[in-house]
Amino acid sequence: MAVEINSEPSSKPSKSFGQKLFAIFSGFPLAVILMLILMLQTWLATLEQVDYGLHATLRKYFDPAAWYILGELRLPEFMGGIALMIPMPGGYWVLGLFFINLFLGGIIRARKGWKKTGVLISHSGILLMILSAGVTEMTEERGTMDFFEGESSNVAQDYYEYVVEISERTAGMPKEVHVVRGENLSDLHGDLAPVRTVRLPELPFDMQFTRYSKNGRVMSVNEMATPAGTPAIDGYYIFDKPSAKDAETNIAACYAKVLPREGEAMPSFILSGDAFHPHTVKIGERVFVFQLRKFLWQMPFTVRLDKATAEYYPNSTKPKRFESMVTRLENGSEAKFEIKMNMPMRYEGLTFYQRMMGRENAQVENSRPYSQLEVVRNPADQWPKYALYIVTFGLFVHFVMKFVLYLQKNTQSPKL
Amino acid sequence: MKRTTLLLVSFCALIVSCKKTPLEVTSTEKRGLTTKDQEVKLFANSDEQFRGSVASPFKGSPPQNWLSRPASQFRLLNYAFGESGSGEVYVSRSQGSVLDNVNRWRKQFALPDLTAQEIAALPTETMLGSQAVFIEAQGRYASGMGKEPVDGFALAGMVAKVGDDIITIKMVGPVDEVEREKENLHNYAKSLQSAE
Repeated sequence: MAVEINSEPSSKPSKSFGQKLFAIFSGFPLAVILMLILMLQTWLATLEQVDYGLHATLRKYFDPAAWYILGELRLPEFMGGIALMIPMPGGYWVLGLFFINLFLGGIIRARKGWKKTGVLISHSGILLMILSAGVTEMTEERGTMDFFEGESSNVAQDYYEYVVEISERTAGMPKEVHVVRGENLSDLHGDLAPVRTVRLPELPFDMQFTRYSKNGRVMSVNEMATPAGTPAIDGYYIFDKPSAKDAETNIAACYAKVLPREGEAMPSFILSGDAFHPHTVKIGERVFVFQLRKFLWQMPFTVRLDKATAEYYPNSTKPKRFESMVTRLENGSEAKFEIKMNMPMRYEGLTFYQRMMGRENAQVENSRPYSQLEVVRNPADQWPKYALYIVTFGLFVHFVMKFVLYLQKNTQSPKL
Repeated sequence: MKRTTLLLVSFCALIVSCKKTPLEVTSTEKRGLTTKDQEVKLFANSDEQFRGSVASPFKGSPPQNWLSRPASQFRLLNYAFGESGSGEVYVSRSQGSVLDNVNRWRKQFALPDLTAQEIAALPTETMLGSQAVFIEAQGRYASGMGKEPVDGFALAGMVAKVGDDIITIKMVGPVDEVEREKENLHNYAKSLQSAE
């Protein structure tokens, strides 16, 4: 009986497309490439933030909208001092890909067994760390709450986002404030900026915005000649300045127009983040005010600053101790807290850190002290800490197991 | 492999979900009142909005070669002069005494303080119905407010106690330009009167 013998008994069946893809995405080569890119990006961003500021550099390298970036490496003077532009993928997506790679390669594909327990735990910790960065990027709100001693506050002001606030003024304070968010303004930039129409169904008018400047000064035509193509309104125009290194000091400005649904069209006007007074428009018998200001988010409770204590190292402005004694006021109840530089107040998903302190008049010793707290809302606030615990625990387990195995191997008596 | 495919599809979905804001949007977002909300000045004009100016209680007759500039929070009346573009004249309401204000200006030129007797010996002229002290200085001008000091500048100005207020007219600019405008400054000070 003839027997057919396979001439290539050891050949493997060819992989499907999915298997090939899985091999690439879970592979060690990809992990090495991604880690090298992340290392390079961290290095370049650290160098760049000196020139361009922390916020602008972080946005450039790690913004989800940045698919690719041109990392800048400035050569030393003796090498010409030129800036080399290094193209690379955006850090957010590199990190995302690294998450997938570590999950597939370090968890799914990794060898399982009790000897690998520590490594698997550590990989889980790193995954949690990356996940926390993603959640922070997508959900975090960050702002400041500032008040003088004895004052109360129920609001935090965003660091960067300028919004247009519209409120109707009758007698006294308005009942509510309509908010046009910064995402509807910030892309209307430059000489050829488009005009965006914002429909406001609950108001008797809509609005149009254009030529938003993230750092614009409102100049008088008598102070400086109007640049070509820049509209001047009532003797003023917006002078577009480069973004400040400390992005939170930018003062935004834009051109705006009210479009009443009934009646005559209205002239355009300028809104500025450092205007002394809001712009007022009367529509029929109703009076509305318009303000460009940093986004305010309301706290679910009120905080009162009872005492602000600032101590500095002798003959310097270096803070030694900043402490805010505050009272949290909520539904008629009061709770006292002490907020220190490394001891924040955490409550209802919000964290209050001590940020700054000062006096109303720095030259006058007895002038009113004020305190500025940084308010952060971030569900992943504590995740990096937990991730570090997990990674540390995983590595501890791994090293202990390795050590025990080593000892066992060396204490086994040799066979004679 | 289904799991891998699912992950890849999710990744691609994330990618295509990034989109631009359209040119027509609807906004219904509102917020309640906060401790930062306060009474505002309604119907403020552009000078009040962007320079924090208040309606000047005074008016004057500036010469034709002075360019009227927007008033500001600290400048009731504000002008520019001279071909260099750096000469300025402004009327302010100040605090303290005549002595304090004269010496504050002198400090900007690194000059020593004057005593009350020395100030009494300075030339005076009538401004807003009061006797104003006329003061001059020259040299390196450090206005403060974060501006770099400039050399070759001069100051000519008047300080008067008018009622409970200290009213000042300050002219600063390059030495030759200030020298040429001194007579105009004296005439302007004489023309200054209540706006009511």
